[in-house]
Amino acid sequence: MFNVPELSLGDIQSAVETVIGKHHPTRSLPIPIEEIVEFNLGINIVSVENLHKKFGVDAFTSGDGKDIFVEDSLYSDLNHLRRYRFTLAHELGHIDLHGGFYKDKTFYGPDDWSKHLAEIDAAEHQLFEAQADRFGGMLLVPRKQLEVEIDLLTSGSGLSGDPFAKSQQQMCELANRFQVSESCMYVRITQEKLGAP
Amino acid sequence: MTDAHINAFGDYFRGRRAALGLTLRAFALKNRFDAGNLSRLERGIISPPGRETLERYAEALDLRNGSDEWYKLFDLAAAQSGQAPIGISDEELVAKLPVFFRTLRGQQIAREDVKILDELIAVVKQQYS
Repeated sequence: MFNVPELSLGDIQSAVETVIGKHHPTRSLPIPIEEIVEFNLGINIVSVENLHKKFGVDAFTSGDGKDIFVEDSLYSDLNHLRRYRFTLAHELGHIDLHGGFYKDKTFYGPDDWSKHLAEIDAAEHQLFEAQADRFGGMLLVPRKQLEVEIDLLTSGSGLSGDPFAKSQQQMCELANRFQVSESCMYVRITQEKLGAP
Repeated sequence: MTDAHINAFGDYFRGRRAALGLTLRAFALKNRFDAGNLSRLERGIISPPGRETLERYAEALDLRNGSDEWYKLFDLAAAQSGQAPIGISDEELVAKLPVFFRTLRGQQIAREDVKILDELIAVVKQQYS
């Protein structure tokens, strides 16, 4: 059994705002996640071949939080840029939200490490992942910027401020401005209650 | 990878690249370098390359041939080329092992599968040696 931190959307939002305020105060879009991770936080982003093939994973962060290992096909192929950006934001979520849990944790060898992994059950793991996902989405699509961009997109269009009432093309345009996937944009709009699906 | 290890070449390389405002990935893509190799080079895991490759790096880093910065890159490379490659102790390796794994659908990897975990340890170790 492992105690997953109870983090409300507000808690995660607060953590995200701290990161943006400190590392990207201009809040210009798209949020330069790779630069924040590499330049501001000094975390190495390391491409690794066959992470997908061998382990079915996109990325993982080293236990000491100093390196993020990313599947090479995500890292090197510009066609996957948005997924790569979200992956970095997600991993930063683990480092920011969950890093404290491992700060004082010492594993006494690989066996101890694997034993610890086994103590995290599937439901707990999903909670950790969901929190990191929320952090990633909020970081790449901050609420204030989302409101501004929705206003810009709808002003003069004769359409309501509800992006769900708009065409797929407009949703796509919003996603382009933030350099995220349309599904990420959909989730953020829903989370912030800025549209009614 | 002990604290005592000096990685002056890698640090200088990284600093010059950062001064161009390019992340490692952007720098590698722009110049068609192998990003994995560059990452190892900057982290001091592999020794600096030979002169020909170094000249390509210098050009990509916008270092004018014959300038102080150009000489510094080559001097640091020469100084570091004799160093033994950095290894990673067992203790350091364990500190690097991950706890969370981002899969396509957010599932865990098969942690009960000893072979998978051994492979994962090998992959992590490979990134530091």
